Amino acid sequence: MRVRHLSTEELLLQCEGELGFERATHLDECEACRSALVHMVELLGEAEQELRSSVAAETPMEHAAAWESLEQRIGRPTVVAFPVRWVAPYAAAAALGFAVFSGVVGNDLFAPDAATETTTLTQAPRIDSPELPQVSTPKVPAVAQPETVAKPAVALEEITVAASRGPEAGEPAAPVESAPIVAAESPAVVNLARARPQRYQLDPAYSLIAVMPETTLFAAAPEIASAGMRPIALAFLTPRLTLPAPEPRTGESPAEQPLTLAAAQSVIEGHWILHRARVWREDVLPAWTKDGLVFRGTVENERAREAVTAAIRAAQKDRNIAVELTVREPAASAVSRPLVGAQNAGLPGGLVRTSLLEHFGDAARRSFASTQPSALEGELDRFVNSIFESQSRLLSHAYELNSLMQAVPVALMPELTSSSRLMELVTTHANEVRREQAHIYDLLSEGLPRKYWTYQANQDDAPSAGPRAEAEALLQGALELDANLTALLSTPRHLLDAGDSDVSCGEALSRIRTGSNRIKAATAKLR
Amino acid sequence: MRKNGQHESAVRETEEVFAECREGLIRYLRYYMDDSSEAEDIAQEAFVRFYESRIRNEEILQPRAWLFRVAHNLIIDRGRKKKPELLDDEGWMSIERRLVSPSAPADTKVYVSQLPWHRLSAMELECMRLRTEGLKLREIGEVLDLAISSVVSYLARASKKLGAVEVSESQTSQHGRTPTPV
Repeated sequence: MRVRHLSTEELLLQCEGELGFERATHLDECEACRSALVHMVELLGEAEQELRSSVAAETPMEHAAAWESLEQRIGRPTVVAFPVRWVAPYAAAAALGFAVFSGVVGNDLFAPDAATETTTLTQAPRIDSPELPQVSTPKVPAVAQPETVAKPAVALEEITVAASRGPEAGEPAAPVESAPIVAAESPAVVNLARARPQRYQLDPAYSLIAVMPETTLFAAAPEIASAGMRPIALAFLTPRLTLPAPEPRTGESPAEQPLTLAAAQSVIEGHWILHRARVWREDVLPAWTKDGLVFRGTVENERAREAVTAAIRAAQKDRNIAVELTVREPAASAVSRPLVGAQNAGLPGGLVRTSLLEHFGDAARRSFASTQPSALEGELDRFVNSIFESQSRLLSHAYELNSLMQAVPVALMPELTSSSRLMELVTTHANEVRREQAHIYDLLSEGLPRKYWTYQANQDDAPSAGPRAEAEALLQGALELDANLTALLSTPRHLLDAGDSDVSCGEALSRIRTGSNRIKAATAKLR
Repeated sequence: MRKNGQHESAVRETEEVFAECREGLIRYLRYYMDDSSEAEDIAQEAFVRFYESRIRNEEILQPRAWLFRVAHNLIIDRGRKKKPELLDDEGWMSIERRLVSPSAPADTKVYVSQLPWHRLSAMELECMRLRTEGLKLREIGEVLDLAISSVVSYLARASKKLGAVEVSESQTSQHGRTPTPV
C-alpha cells in the first residue's frame, strides 16, 4: 500500500504550524515529504527576503518622526477648544451674513423688479372692474431711448401692465382703489376657488366579488403535471457539438469485415506515427484497405497538405505508407454569405463574462491592480482564452482516444492491449485529458466563487463497460463541458438558454476526470 | 475624568501597536505606492483610526490584521478618488530627461529578482506580501476578506509557481491524497 504524501497546501500549513497532528506525523516517516518541506521553507524564506528587499526599509529616524507626528494628532484632547482669538472675526462674519441673508429673504431682493417686469395682457388675468384705470400705451420720452439700441415696435399685446399702474410724472394721479379689485369676483376665480377635487369612487354596487363570478374565484388549478418538463428557451437553442456517430475508421466496418490482428496492429501503428509526427490533431486517420495501411483525411489548404504529408513521411522512417489527403473545400453558403456583423449583439461575452468582469474588478480593487477597463478586459480575455485553449486540447485528446478505441475491434482488444503502443497512446491521452481538466478546474475555481458551482469527487463505483464505452463516455463528458463553457463564456446574454445548464461545469469536469481514470484502468485490465 | 483615562489608555495601546506593526505596515504600503509620503499619510491615518476606535471602546481582537485591513481599504479609497494627473511642459520634460538619462539617479535601487513573481496572480502576490509582513493565515483572510482555505490555496499556488517541489504523483495512492481538483 502506497503512502499518502503531503500536498503543497499541507506543506504550507506545516510551515505555518497549523497542520493537524495526524498528518504531521507523516513527516517522521517520509523522506520525500521532509525534503519537500525543507524546500518549501527555503522557498518561502527566499520569497520573503526578495519581497522585503524590493522596497526601501524604514529607518529609525523615520520611525521616530512618524510617532512624533502621530502623537501630535492623538496626544491632544479629543475635544478641541475653539481659539478665542477667532471669536470676534467669526462673530462679525456671522452677523454680517445673517444681516445680508435676512435682507435678501425679507425684501425678496432676488425677485424680478415689479416695475420693469412685463406681462402681456393676454397673460394677465382678465378682471372686469370699473375701478381699473384705463389701459394706455406707455409714453416713453424720446431722450430716454438710446439711439444705439433698436427697440422693437410695441405691439398691442406687449403693452405692459406696469405702465397702466400709474400715470406719468406730472399727470394727475388717478384714484386707484385696490379693495374693489380684491372684492370683485371673477366667475373664473369663483369657480376655481369653489372647485373640489374630483374623485372617482367605486360604486358600491360594483364590488370585486360582485363582478367576478364564483367560478372564476374558485377555478380549478391547471394541470401542471400533465405539461411535462421542458427546457425554457429564452431565445433559441444554440448549436452544440454532439457525439459523432461511430463510423468505420479502418476503411471497412469492423462488423462487416473484421480486422485481423495484424491489420489492427497496423492501424494502431498508424496512430502512433501520427502521434510521433505531431499531426494527430489534424483530421487525418489511418485506414486499413486491401492495399494495406493508408493515411486518409482532409486538411485546410494546399500548404497544410504538404506540411502534414511531409511530417507523416518523416515519422514513418523505414515504412512507406501512402498518404491520401484532400483539401477541404469551403462551403458554398459560407462563401456566398456576405460578412455582416451581428446586429444588436450587445456586449461580447454575456452574463457570465460580465459577472467575471465585475468579480475581477473587485479582485483588482482589492489587490490594487489597475482598475482601468482596458486592462481588466485584457486580463479577462486572457483568462477566457486560456480556458478555451485548454478545453480545445482536452477535446482533441478525448476525440483521439475515442477514435483509437473505435478503430480497435472489441474481439482483438485483449491481444492489442498487450502491445506497448496502444497502452502508451491510451495512457498519454488519458493523462493529458486529466491534466487539461485540472487546468480548467483551476481557472474556473479562481474565476468563480465555489458556491456557484459544485465539483464531485471520484465516482467510479459503477462497473466498467470496457475501454470503448469508457472512451465514448469520456468524449461525451468533454462535449458537455465544451457546450457548457461555450454557453457560459462566449454566448451573449440574450442567447443563453435554460438547456445549457443541464450539466454543470463541475459535473462535466468530474465525469472527465473519472473517465480518464476508468479508461486507463479498463485498458490495463484487458492487458 | 473617565474620558481622560480612556484617552490615555487608547494612546498607550496605539503606541504599542505602532511599535509592533509600523515597520511591516509601512513596507506593505510602499509595495503599492511610489510616493513614500503618501504611504506615511495612510499609515498615520490607520493608526489614528485605531486610536479613535479604542476611544469609542470598540473591541479589536487582532490589531495587526485590523490595521492592515484599514490601510488596505484606505489605499483603495485613495485610488478611487485619485484623478489622472495632467502634466505640464515641465512634467513632460522631466519624464523625458529621466528616460534618456544614461545613468540612473543615485537613489534608484536596481532590484533583480530571482523568483518568477510575474507568474503570480494579483491575489497570490497579495497573500505572499501579507505573509511576508508576518500575518498569520487567519489574519490574511481577515485583511482580504477571504476564507482561510482560500488563503491557503492562494499561497500554495503561489508557492508552486515560484518553484515549490511537489511530491511526485506516482508515489501517491489512489485513495489517499486528494488530487488537485478536489
